[in-house]
Amino acid sequence: MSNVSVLAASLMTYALAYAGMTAFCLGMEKHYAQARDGAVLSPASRKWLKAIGWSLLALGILSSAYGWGWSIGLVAWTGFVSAAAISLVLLLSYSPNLLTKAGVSVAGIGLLALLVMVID
Amino acid sequence: MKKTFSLSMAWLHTWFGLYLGWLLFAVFITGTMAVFEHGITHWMQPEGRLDNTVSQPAVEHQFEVAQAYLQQHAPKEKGSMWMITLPGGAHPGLEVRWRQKGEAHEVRLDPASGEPIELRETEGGAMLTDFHYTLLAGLTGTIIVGLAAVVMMVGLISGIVIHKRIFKDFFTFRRQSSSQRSWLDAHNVSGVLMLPFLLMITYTGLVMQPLVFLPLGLKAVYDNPRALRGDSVQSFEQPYAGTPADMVNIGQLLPQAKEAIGSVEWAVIQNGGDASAVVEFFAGVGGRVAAVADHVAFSAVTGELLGKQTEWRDSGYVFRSFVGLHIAMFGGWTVSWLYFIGGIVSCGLIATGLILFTIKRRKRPENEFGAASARVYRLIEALNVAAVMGSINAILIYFWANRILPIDFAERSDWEVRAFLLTWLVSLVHALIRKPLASWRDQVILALLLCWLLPVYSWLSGQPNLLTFWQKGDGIAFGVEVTILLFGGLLSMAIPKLSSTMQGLPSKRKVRPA
Repeated sequence: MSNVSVLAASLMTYALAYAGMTAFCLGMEKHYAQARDGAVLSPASRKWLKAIGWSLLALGILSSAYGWGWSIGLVAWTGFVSAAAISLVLLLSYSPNLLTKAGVSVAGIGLLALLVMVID
Repeated sequence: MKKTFSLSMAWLHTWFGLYLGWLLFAVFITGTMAVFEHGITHWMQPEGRLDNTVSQPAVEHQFEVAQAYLQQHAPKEKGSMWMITLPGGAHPGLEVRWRQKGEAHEVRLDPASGEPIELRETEGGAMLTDFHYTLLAGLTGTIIVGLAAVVMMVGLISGIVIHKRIFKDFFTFRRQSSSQRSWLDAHNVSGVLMLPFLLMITYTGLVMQPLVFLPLGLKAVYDNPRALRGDSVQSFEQPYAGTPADMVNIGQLLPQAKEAIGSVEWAVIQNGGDASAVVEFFAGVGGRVAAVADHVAFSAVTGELLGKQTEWRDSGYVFRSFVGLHIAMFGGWTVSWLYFIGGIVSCGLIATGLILFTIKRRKRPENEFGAASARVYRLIEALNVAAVMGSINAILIYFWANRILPIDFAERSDWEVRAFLLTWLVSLVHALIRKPLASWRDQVILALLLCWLLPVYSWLSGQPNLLTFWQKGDGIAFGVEVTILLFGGLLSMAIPKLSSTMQGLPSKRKVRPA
């Protein structure tokens, strides 16, 4: 694989893992309040956020397997999820009000890249 | 024994974690460095730096010049093994290796002319890898590291048991709470989020040394380790003939080899110069998780194909998958960086655990050591500093020694290692003399200066530095030096926090009204 496509697969897998973790994080009452000025998480939103979180993580596996094949892809994906979660915790701790925006934009980038890759 | 299960788990976690944590930190930080072992070696031998601005000669030609060099310099004797490694990936140069009378020889060649390149004598990144699993003490060291790995496993499992709020506190890091709370959060979050990596790396680290840790099962089946290897790795060796013979140019066999195994990263010539000489080409281990290399063998005299191995026995393949998972040679730079980040966070986990022990007791001494408690706590504080900052500074001093010692200095590689080891002693003595927080701060500042001044020193002393690496397009050496600079940046963030704790002031944010 060329360096460019490795970089693309890395960014995409990280983006999907990060966005998935953001959805899980927002799906918890205390972090939802933390990230959204004390707003209360409704049970319906919580369900949705969890579903989105799982779907993004699953898409991340696909993207990683596309980049490195299934066996290496699964190992790399696990690493990306951990790295994404660590960066999320740091953002949540230093500037919680950016959490939602960052999550949505990163999810957008990841999904767009995935779409381009599938069409390509 | 403690009253409840979770109390006894907490006891186990605290004491085993403390006593082995010192060692585990050194093992984890050198293991983290080992991910970039070849890159570090390359950086430590800047004379062999790549000039990516000129194009490299064809692989066939490189094999030819390497073979010519070996025929001239390597011994032609029974059981000889000559190795040729092509440049590629993290291995930046054309390298030939052989053993003579038990001594390993390693020469870097100019891929165009085949002339040897003079490199400064150093053990490079290999020393850090060696320390990671032997503590530079051979088999004894491996056994000690193995015991530490068992304790790491115990620490992980007991940690999971006593945490109790794994999912509730999955993303919780209350940085601005009391110092004990924020250190505990950092410890918990890094442990939980890195748990897959931690379990994997600890478990695979243990099982990859079966001859040391589980010898009986293997002994029951195999007479000796060579038989075990022979059962998994096919050998195409031929019995030594004792009659000298001219060898073919092995570069010409390359197209055939590539057709058989796809790609070629290194080659081995057995019994070179003899009528029984065999040349074996290897495909490298980067393409899959399992660390096995497909290989194909030819007679080095007639050029006749002797056979190839691209299929692997399940048992051997599973074992090499564990090894492969640990040494992370697969997946290119992406996987290397993921392992490096995993390693750094794991070091953070161990360091925060060690620090927590003392922070808890600074406020509320538990007097586990009776009348001597105050003195023992003092010793533990000092050992924490020596284990964490001592290890970091030891590696940095090792890098500095590489740049400071004159190139023709006698036994310079030994002195590099001595400087590395002595740093721990100095660090411990310093930590025993100074007050705990002051020694933390002094040593963090030292590490920071070592990181940031390294490129400056290289530049002032007229040695290859960031600028030259950039100009020559040598991304590996450039990457090593930039990573050192960035690590300095990470350390610099600890200094204001340490200073404010020393003055006994609460951090700025805490005094702000909520």
